[in-house]
Amino acid sequence: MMAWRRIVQILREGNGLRLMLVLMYVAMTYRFYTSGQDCRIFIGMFRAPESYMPSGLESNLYAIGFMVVGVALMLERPSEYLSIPETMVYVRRPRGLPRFLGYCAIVGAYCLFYAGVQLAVALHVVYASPKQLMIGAVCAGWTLLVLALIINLGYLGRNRPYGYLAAMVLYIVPLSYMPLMRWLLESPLGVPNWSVTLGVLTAALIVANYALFERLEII
Amino acid sequence: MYITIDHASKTIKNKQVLRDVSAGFERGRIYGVVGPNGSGKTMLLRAICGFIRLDAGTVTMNGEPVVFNRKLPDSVGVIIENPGFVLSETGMQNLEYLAGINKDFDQEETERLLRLFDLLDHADAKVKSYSLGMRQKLAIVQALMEHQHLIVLDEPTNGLDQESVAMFLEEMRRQRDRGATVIIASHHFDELNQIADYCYAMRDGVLRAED
Repeated sequence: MMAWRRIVQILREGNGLRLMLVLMYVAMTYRFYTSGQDCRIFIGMFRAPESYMPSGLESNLYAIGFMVVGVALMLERPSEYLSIPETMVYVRRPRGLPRFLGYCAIVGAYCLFYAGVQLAVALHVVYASPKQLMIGAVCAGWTLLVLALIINLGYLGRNRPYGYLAAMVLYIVPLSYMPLMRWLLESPLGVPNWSVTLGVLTAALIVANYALFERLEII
Repeated sequence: MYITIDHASKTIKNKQVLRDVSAGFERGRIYGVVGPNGSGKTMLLRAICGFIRLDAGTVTMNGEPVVFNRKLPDSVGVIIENPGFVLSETGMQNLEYLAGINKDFDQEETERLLRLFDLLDHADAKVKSYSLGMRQKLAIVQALMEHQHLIVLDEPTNGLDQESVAMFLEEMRRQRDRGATVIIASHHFDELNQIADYCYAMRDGVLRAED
């Protein structure tokens, strides 16, 4: 119970800012559902551009907004939880794998919740294509998790701007480069290429994060 | 020697925070480390507790090496920078949690310390209702409540009133008399001077014996 309250204490900081972000995002979501976009594709899921649009970025502004707000709402609190120098605890019990697994669980649960709430909204608003919406929500939530893990690498490496830059580049490149986007949407193995790509990235990023975490000094 | 620091060096962000530091700390003694902000006092304490990886040199405790983020060879009580209590829990619950990590909760000793620092009546209040001084006193209690063999305190009298400082100094003497090694880093040379058996001065990462 105490460990749980300790987590909550760290995560809840910045709730005022979070509320402001949520209100802005609600307005953006309302605009999404009233803008005439194809709402059968989940708001956070990347989509191939309409023929009249000059680039993939333009048709993915809502997906970008989903990721930006998703990252912003975390306010780096899970990263803070991971790296906070709890000297009174660590002098009694060395910091170890449970702390890292706790971080993974927090970020995973957050991405699930963030995408899940919006999936519930989407299922309520859009009556058709529940399967397509669910697949889109899985992809969007999973992508958010990958971005959070990339950003955390920057945090642990004490170079946060690079973490954000790397996450942004990794996300924007497929949206800007159409052949890559099309490849991600293909399913030659029975599952979409994006799921394989995200799976590989997640595994690699978890290993990289743990390696950095192990080296992180308690300062 | 109970604690031996042998030619320890550490550089962080191109700044050498420990420069070839060597020192020894015996059992049943109080050691003071004085120095200005940024002189490396806190980093020295972190090195003793195994919170940092040294670039060179070693720290041994009770004859065993202190390794970064590994179980310490002996029991250590510590205050380094802001104590991270769970604010929504009571003072006593925080202490029970910390002592529970190594299943070493001594109710009698904890109550004695809480009474000494005038916290016993507030032990069942949530820490968020505590003043800065009360939180600092609670931090001191957690550093002592398990009869730790080594007590490492960074600026322990921050936020304490004169009466509490006097209590603290008296308690440190008591800890020394029971055989604990106490290392205190502080700006307040006058306070350290009252209790320390031996003082070190730290400046720019260099540790020197103080006359």
